[in-house]
Amino acid sequence: MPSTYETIRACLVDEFDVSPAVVTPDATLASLALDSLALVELSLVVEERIGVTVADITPDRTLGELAAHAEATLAKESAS
Amino acid sequence: MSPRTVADPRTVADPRTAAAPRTAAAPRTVAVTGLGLVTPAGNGPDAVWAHFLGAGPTARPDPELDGLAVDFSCRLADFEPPALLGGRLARRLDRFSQMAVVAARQAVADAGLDPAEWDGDRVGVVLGVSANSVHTYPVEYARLAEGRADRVSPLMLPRSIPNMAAGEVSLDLGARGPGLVVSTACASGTSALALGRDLIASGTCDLVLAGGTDSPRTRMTCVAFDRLGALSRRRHDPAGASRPFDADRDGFVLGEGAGVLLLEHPEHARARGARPRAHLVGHGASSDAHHFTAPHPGGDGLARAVRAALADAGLAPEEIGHINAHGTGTALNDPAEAAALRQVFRRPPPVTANKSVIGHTMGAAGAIEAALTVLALQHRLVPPTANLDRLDDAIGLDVVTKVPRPVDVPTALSVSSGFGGQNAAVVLTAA
Repeated sequence: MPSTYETIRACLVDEFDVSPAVVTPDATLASLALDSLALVELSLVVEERIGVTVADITPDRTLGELAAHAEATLAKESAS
Repeated sequence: MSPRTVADPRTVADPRTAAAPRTAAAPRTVAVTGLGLVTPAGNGPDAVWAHFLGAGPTARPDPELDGLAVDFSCRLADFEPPALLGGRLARRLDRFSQMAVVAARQAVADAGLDPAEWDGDRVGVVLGVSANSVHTYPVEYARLAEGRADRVSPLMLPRSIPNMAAGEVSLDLGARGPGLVVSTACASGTSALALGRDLIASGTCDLVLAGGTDSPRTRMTCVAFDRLGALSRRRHDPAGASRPFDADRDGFVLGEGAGVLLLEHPEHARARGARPRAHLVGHGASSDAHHFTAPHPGGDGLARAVRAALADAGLAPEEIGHINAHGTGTALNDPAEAAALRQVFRRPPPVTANKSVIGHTMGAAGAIEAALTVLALQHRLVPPTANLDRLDDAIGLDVVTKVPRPVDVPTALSVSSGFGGQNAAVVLTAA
C-alpha cells in the first residue's frame, strides 16, 4: 500500500495536473499555485483516497505536514 | 401623451458598425467552417460519418442503469475526459461541459483556426442544453442526505449550472464575445444554431461556436422518462430499440453527446482562405401552445417553424433535397412530425432519422443532426435510418433506410421539437 504522502502526491499529479517536479515533501500548498477552491477539492479527494478528513488544509502547510496530519488522524481513528 | 422623438435610423451612425468595422455588411447566410462531434458513434466528423453510413445502432446495456425497467442506452464508447482535458479540468466539469469543450476544440481545429491568433472579442459561444447537470446533482445530494454537508463539493454550483457549458468553452478557447446557453428542450441544439447565425447577422460576432451538449443518461432521468412512457422498453433487443418511423417503435433511447458547428461570417472565412463545409442559410422557430409535452397532432407548430426557416432562406419547399428529421421513435412524435412535413412539402424529399443510431442526445440532438446534415450535403449522401423495417402507415414519408442514398439537390433542412411545444428548423446548403 502506498504511503499517505505518496497518495497525496499522486492526487496532485493525476487529479490536479501539478508537475511531478514541484511535488516534494517540503513544498507548501501555496507554492503549487492551487487556489482556495482547489484546496477544498484536494481535501475531498484525499478523504476519498485515504479515508480521513483533512478539512483544515491551509496554503502554508507543506505536503509532508499534510501527510503527517492525515496519518495521525488515521491512527487516532483506528485506535478509538 | 406627448409624441416621443425617434431618431431617423438613416441619419444615426450604427454603433455596431462604428465599433466593429472589421467585417462587411451583415449576412443572412453564414459559413459552416468547422465541425466538432462527440457521440456514441465516435468522435470527430470523419469517424461519426463513417459510422452513420452503415455501422448501425449504438444502443447497448448500460451498467449505470442496471436493475431498472429500461437498462440500456447509447453511451459514449471512447471518451476519457482526464486524457482529453487533463485531470484538473476534467474534475471541474460536469459531463455536459466536458463534451462541449472537447467538441468545441474539434470544431476550431477542423476550421483551421488558432485561438491564439483570433480576435476573441468577436468570437461567441451559443450552446443548447436541456438536461444539463444530471450527473453532479445526485452525487452531491447523496452527501447531504448522509448528513455530510462538509463533503459537498465546492464545485457543485460551478459544475452544474447550465450556462457553464458555454462558460467553460469560452474560457478554454478564449472566446470573449457573447456566451449563451439556450434551452428549448430537445430543440435546444437547433435553437443555438439559429441564435449563432443571428449573432453574426447582427454584426456582433465574426465567429460563433454554436451547438449543443447533454448527457441525460442517468438513473433518475431514465426513470423519469420511463414514467412518462417516452422510452423504449425493448430490453431484449437494445440495438433494435430506437426505431423512428417504424410500425413497431415503442419510444426513444437515451443517448449523450455534443455537437459544435463553427459558424463564420462569409467574408471572414474568405479573407483567411477557409473552405466552408456548407452554409447555414435560414432558420425558423415556433411554439405549439398546445400541450406541455405532446406535439400538436397535426404538426402545426413544427410546420410553422419549417415555413419560417424556408422564408428566412428565401427558398421554396421544392428546393429542399433532404430532411434530417427529429424522429424520436415515440408513438406521438413521429406521426405529428410527418404530418408537419406533409403540410409544407407536397412531395417531401428523402428523410433520415439519426436518433436510430445514437439515441436521443436531448440538448445536443439538433446540433449533432445539423452537423450530419452538413456531412450529407458534402458527401451528397443521405445516411440510412437504422431499424426501419416496416414504415408506419401513418407516416407517408420517403425515409431512407438500409443503405445510404445519393442526393443531388444541395439544400437540406434539419428540424427539432421539444417539450413545451418548442420547434426549430435550420436550412443548410452545400458550399
